[in-house]
Amino acid sequence: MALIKVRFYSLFSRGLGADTITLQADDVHEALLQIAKAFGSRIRRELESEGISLDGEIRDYGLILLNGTNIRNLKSTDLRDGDTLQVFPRAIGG
Amino acid sequence: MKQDTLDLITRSAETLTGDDGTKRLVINLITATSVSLSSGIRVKDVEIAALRQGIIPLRYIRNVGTVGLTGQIRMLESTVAVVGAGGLGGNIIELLARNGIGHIIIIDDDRYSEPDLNRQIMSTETDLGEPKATVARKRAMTVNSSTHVTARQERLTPKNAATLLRGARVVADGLDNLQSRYAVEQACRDLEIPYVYGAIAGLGGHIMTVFPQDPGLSSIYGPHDVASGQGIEAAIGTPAVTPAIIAALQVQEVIKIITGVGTAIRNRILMIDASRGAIHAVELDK
Repeated sequence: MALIKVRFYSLFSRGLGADTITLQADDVHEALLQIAKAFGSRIRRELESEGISLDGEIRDYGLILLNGTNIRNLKSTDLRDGDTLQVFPRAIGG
Repeated sequence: MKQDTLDLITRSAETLTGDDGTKRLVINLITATSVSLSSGIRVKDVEIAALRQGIIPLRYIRNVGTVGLTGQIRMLESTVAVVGAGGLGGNIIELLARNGIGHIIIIDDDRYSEPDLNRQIMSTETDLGEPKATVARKRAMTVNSSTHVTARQERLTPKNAATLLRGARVVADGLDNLQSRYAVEQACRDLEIPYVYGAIAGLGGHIMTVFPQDPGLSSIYGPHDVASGQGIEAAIGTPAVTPAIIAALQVQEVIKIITGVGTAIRNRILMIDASRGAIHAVELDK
């Protein structure tokens, strides 16, 4: 099992009250499940208290990168010690 | 340019003494316009000819200390395309004109509506219902009569993108959807020109410059075929200040690319979080 860092940015770190957490997981999917279970509802609850309502899971309204590559582009989703998942809001507006 | 026109520019120059005692040769707007009228050449070309002789058009006197005479000439000789003339695009166009970009191409098929008034700097109550591209063109030409502005009131698509953007030295992103962004990025790769990405949601936004060989949008949003839909702005909106911040930084990227002064933000997203006054850089895998 790999020990990785998860870095939250912007609205998500505000909702979580922290920038970085560490967790252990074998692959990205497992890490995301842990994030959703441990922090997803907390981020959502905090943001809802500000009047911001988000639907779905964090992967639906967030962008998730592993070491600077969107997880949808990964050839392998296996994690290694020292990897960093970067999680930030999916901003598209102009 | 004829020698007598060059002589006229030189004779028209005045000496300006700065606060630090530095003396500079300058030419003011009325004189540049009058040289243009009497010689039949564009004001922009009068300004370029003046700069080549070390005479600074007064309107750019606060620019040249940073970008130099050569940088100002390069801006006047450059074409920049802006895709989308809304929150980001409007601010981008305003700043490009003020910087002295010689030719701005504005591409937008939309018209102003009331929800635009909070942030789209080109929109006014009297412009509601008017095409954004033509209103923005008028505004840019009012700000700087040297700037030539082409307004294209049409929707950019993967099919017409390269045609619409041809001739641009760099393209700035004022878009609000991923489909068009990917079309612009691909067209810029085909045309071998840089693309300056920007996106906003709530009190946050992103900026990145993508050169043709850079991984670009796919690193952020994933492959083109699966990256679609709305962003978090659907829930948290786009308040007034955020597009002004992000657009200003996008224009700075454009100016850096054109003048060669500074280093472009490549292969990393600059992420602005105005709610905490924080700026983060996320390095992308090359």
